[in-house]
Amino acid sequence: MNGIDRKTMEIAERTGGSLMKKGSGPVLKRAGINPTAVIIRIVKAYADWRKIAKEEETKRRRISSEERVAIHQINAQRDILMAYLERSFDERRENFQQFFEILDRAIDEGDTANVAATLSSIVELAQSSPFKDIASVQAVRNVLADQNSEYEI
Amino acid sequence: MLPAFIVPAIKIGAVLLGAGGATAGVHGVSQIKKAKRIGQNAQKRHKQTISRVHSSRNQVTERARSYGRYLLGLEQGTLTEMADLLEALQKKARIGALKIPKSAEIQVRTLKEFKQKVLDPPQDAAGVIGVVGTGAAASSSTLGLVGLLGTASTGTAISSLSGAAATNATLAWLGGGPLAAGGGGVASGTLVLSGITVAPALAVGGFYLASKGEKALTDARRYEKSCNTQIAKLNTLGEFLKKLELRIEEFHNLAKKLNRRARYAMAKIDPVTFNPTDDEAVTDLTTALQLVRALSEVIRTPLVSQNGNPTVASHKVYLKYEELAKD
Repeated sequence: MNGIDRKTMEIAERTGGSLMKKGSGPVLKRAGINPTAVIIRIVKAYADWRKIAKEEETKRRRISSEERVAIHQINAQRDILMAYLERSFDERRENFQQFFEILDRAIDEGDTANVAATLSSIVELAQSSPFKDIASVQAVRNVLADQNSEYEI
Repeated sequence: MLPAFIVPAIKIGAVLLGAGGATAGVHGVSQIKKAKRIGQNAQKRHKQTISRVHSSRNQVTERARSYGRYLLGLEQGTLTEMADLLEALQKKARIGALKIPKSAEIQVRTLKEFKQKVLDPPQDAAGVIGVVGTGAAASSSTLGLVGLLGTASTGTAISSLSGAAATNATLAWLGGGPLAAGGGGVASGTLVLSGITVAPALAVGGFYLASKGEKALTDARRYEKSCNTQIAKLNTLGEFLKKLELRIEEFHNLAKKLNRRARYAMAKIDPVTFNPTDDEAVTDLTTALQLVRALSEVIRTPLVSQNGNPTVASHKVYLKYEELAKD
């Protein structure tokens, strides 16, 4: 029972179960009406509503705050990941181009040792997936976020 | 006769109680409607985002299939021709198993359908019965009270009447007396009685509804938060799928470049006139073999990852392959 209910009940007890005008209590009682119960019920419904409204408003503010933090974190991670992959694909494109220039020269010169070495580099670069470092990007991000951590070189 | 001041007092009290509750009730209904809009819009946006991600995934699948068709061509062309060339040179050759990319797959977390849980049958029933009970008690008790105190226009005590006569006399008494005597009559009495009955129910019901509205709004925001978080993750997945397309394109271009050079090198070799003591001929064969071998390794490299599939923003991404077994 909240404060309003308790106060209302005290008044009800003092007035003999009625908040009506003095003298009307016994008559109303004889008729089976309990206006105090009706008023208490209304006051309690009002008090419950205000209490719930306040609690729910607090919950909604917390939800909004958590939502902002979570989405900011997801977007920040996405930006880092995409920037990394973008740069990675650009570098790979340039490296492949250079390897093929070397390969073509080696083929023209009949330098099979150089052809083998360059092809080995091409295959190695192809096999190294830019996606394998996704976890490492996350690790770097964690290091950046934590000022106390050390990054071993 | 009913004292003149009581009827307006009852009416005013009833109006005030009812008005407060009704206002709160209207607010509650508005909150419930708003909550429903929030939940449904969030669900709609989430479904649209999933649909966009699946569309991106389909593009990756198309890209992967195109690369797969190219690999099949390589297998039936360059690789087979190289094997034939080696056999013509009295060397045994075998083409290893090749996996052909078939489709891009993603594991997307789904969310529950939005359902507004405004109504909770057992709890609401208890609340409604309580409210109705409050009104009913007031109504029946009022009739009883009038019966005790009132006197019909004929001068007969209402308590001594019964049935319709008692009811009509009571309602006329509540209305300020019969029409003939300048009162409001039965109609006015009915209004007063319904005011006494309805007002508490309206007030309590209104506040109850307003509380429900607040809770519904919070539930909807919680659901919206889940949707928005999922949407942000799905957007990350969508961006990643574009990079996966780049990766397939990278391999496709790489395979084309190696194949072009391999075929050029193979074209220099004539198995009929091939002389194993001719340095230039052996160099050409070596280069052709090196290129085909490199091509073979590249096209057997998993496009996504050698060690498991990446998890992007809590969603797994992988490619499905079709294996072409070769003896």
